[in-house]
Amino acid sequence: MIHLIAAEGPNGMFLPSDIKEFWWSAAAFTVVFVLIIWKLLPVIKQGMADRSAAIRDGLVEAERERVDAEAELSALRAKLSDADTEAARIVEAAREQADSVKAELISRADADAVSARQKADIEVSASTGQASADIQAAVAAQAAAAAESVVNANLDQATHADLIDRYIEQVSGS
Amino acid sequence: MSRAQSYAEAMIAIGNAEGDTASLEADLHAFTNAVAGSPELQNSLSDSSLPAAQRQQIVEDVLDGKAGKAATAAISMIVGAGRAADLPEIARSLSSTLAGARGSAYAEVRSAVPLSADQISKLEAALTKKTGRPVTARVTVDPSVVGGLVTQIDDTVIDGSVRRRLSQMRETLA
Repeated sequence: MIHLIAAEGPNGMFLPSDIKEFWWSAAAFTVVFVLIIWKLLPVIKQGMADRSAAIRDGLVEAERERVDAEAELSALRAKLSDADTEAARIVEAAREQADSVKAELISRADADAVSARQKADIEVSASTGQASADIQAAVAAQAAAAAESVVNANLDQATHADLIDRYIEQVSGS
Repeated sequence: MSRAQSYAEAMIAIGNAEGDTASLEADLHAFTNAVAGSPELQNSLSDSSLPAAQRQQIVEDVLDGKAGKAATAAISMIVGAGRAADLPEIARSLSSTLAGARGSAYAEVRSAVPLSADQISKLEAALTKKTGRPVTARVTVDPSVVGGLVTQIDDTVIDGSVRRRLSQMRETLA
């Protein structure tokens, strides 16, 4: 069949017109093919294997990085949750402290008010008592002075004698 | 024994040596009454800034010709020693001691007005009845009494003065 096709001569088809050229070409092709299979194929296979290993390693690395990232994300979420909890605790503590300070200030203000009111009551009472005592002492002094003036004005010789006689009677009778 | 009593007994010893304690007693009381009636004389005799000799000279000037030499010397010595303020107590102690030596009691009487001999006699009788001992009263005119009498026998005071009643009234009113 090959000879038949070749016998047609230069016909613009793919077979050479000389059959020998065909054989030489086939032999050269076989040699090249064998060389390729023998030398190049292992290199290609090795390259393919290396490439596969690299891809596989990359996938493993990517997976590991993904796991790490997820772990880090979880940690960050946990930290964020802790931060929220801490913030809430701080806010609650601040609120409690503010309430405590407020209650203490109100209590102290109430106590101060009571103390001031009591002090004012005492001062008013003392002032009133002192004023009353002063007035009473002044009235007593005035009354005593008036009485002494009246007595002095009415102590004549007869009254003196009467006072002395009564004194003697009292001493004698006691 | 008080200081006044010591001075009184020293003066009694001087009177006994002179043989006239009665004059000494009378002169001492007279001088004491004179000092009591003159605040200026009282201040001069009690003024410690004055030299003792100057105070003694004042005594001698006051008593010149009015008291015995023994009384003048004794009073001058007491004033020179800076004990002018003790003269009333010394006079009282002296009279009390002399009265005690006679088996009687001495009463110092203060009155706003002079007492008559009859009043003094009645008073002595009343005091004798009260104390159970014969009482010799010496009356001093003291306007601060206002009215009535104040009698002191030893440590006992019988106050029947108007001054005391005025003071009681003042205290009651106060």
